[in-house]
Amino acid sequence: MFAITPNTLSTFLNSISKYIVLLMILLLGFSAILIILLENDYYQGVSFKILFIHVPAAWLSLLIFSTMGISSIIGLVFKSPTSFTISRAISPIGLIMSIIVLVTGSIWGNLTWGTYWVWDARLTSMLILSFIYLGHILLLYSFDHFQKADFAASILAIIGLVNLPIVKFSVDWWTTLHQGSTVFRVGGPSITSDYLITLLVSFFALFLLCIYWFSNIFYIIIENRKIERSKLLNQ
Amino acid sequence: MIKNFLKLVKNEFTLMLRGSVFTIVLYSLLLIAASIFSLALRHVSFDIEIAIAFLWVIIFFISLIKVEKVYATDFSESKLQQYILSPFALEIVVFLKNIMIYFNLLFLFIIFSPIILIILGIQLSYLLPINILLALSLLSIIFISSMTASITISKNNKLSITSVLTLPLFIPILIVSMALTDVVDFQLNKMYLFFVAYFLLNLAFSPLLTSFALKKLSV
Amino acid sequence: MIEIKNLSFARGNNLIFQNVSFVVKPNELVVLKGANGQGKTTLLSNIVNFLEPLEGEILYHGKSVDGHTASQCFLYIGENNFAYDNLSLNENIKYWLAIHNVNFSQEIRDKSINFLFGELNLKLRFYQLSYGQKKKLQLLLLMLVNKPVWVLDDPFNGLDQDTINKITSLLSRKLEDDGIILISSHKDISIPNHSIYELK
Repeated sequence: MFAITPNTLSTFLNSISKYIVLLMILLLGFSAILIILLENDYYQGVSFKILFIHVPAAWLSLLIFSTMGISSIIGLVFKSPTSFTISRAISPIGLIMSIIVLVTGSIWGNLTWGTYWVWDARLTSMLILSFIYLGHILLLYSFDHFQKADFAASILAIIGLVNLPIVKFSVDWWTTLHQGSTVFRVGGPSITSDYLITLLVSFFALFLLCIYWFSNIFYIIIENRKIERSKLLNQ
Repeated sequence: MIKNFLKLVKNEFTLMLRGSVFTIVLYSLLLIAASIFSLALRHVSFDIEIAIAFLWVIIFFISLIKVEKVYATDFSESKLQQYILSPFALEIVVFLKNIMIYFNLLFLFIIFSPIILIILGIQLSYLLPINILLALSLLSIIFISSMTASITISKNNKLSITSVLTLPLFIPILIVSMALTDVVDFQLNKMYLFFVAYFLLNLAFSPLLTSFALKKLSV
Repeated sequence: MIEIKNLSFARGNNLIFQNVSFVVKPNELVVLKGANGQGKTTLLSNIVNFLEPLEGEILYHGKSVDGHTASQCFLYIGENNFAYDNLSLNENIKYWLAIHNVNFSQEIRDKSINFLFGELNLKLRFYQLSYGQKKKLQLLLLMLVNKPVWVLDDPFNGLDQDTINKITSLLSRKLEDDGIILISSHKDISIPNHSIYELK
């Protein structure tokens, strides 16, 4: 499984990318219709609609981070260039997702709680997550050679992967100890089935968008490396 | 092998003692920072939490600077080449150096701590809890700093800001330390278990990752 | 026996050397020659597995060199000094012999230290020594560390004739013991039957 070269993965992703785009457009349209329909049902104000971007993006940012960490571990253990390239291509997407979560979350928070930012457990841990993403990307571009950068960044990704659950726990304890009374809940009704379906559909739409995006970034990285290598050997 | 290991430990200890001048300079900076802090806030009555948070943040930076300094001199390219080709694993050397940095920082803090607490206006009854807290958390702090230092000191690294970017990784320690200061009775609770677990986790991972980063990035 | 096959190395986007191939047999000394910037030091670091080559491979007794074989079989002495400036000469000697797990008796150690440092005060801090005196600490490793392959990066640089003679005698004794020696140097070496590899 670890013997897949970056080239074969790149051609495979290229070959399926048109189906991904088709499915993604279908799902995006479907979820848009569902969201509009839902809005007619609930009169909670326009603000709650943001949930269908906010929650899928939050799930995705965590999913991408664990993918990044695991592929870094595989890369370090099995010395697989494919895993390194995967984590290199995936981390900008993760950063964008976590920024989307923070921005939509603070807009939503301003509309419902009247403030953009609270030092709450979830908010803090998401902020830390986006900091680690930022560090990962900066580390990737702070070395002369991509192999050294891959090693350094994968070490950071592993540190982050180990630390993130701990950050989560410690922040939870901290908030329960200090501001137990101000722990907030999402207002409105509990999740009904049509709510859940809309959430899942929009999650998969966003997920496919990420995969499409990932395959493009992956392709660009591989092609750039081919060009650099051929230049190098023909000097 | 064991005889040579003991010699190694002894010489590392000597090295640590000779390096404590730098630590004293760092703690003097801490004293100056604490004086400025309390001087600026002399008209304001603030909670003890603020003073302790200030102290903790400064100690984070001190241990980051100290670890990076030690790593930059002790793992320079020519030394590192000898360490890599020696029969002792690089992990052992990294571990020894981390432990020595820990003792160095901790003992000097114990000496400085009464003065610092008086300057910051913290009651001296907090002296023992704060020292025990630091003794527990400093090991994890140093082991995390060593990982970031090994990435940062690499000669291939164009940006030297990575140690600041990995600062979020210290947040669990900060938060738990803050939470522990609220426990007036100062008894064993699950927070201490958290500290021990976190330290063991760092102990398992960080020498491996640190020496790996040193081997791959700094030679 | 060390075989180097089609070795190429690039630092960043800069190709340092290309298609280097040669063989070093037991009791043979190979001198790498070439102008500055031709990658002599880089080639030596590739051989002791500090750096990973872009292409090609390095075989020691038919097996590819990894970190373990490198630490078991290779002794590398670089151009720069590795000692701790704020330890004394004596402490440095103890430290680096411990790091290399040297198990010789105190008598042999004292004899070797005497051979190299002579009447020098061993209590001096390392930064108080001159360049040539510092370099002698590296030579002590050559005398006391028991490894089959020596890889030396410019060992004669900046040394007086007396020390150069000492190094030469160490090298020829190593060759008699079936040692393998790789040296990069600008100077000519007064050891018979050494071969030269020119880096272009």
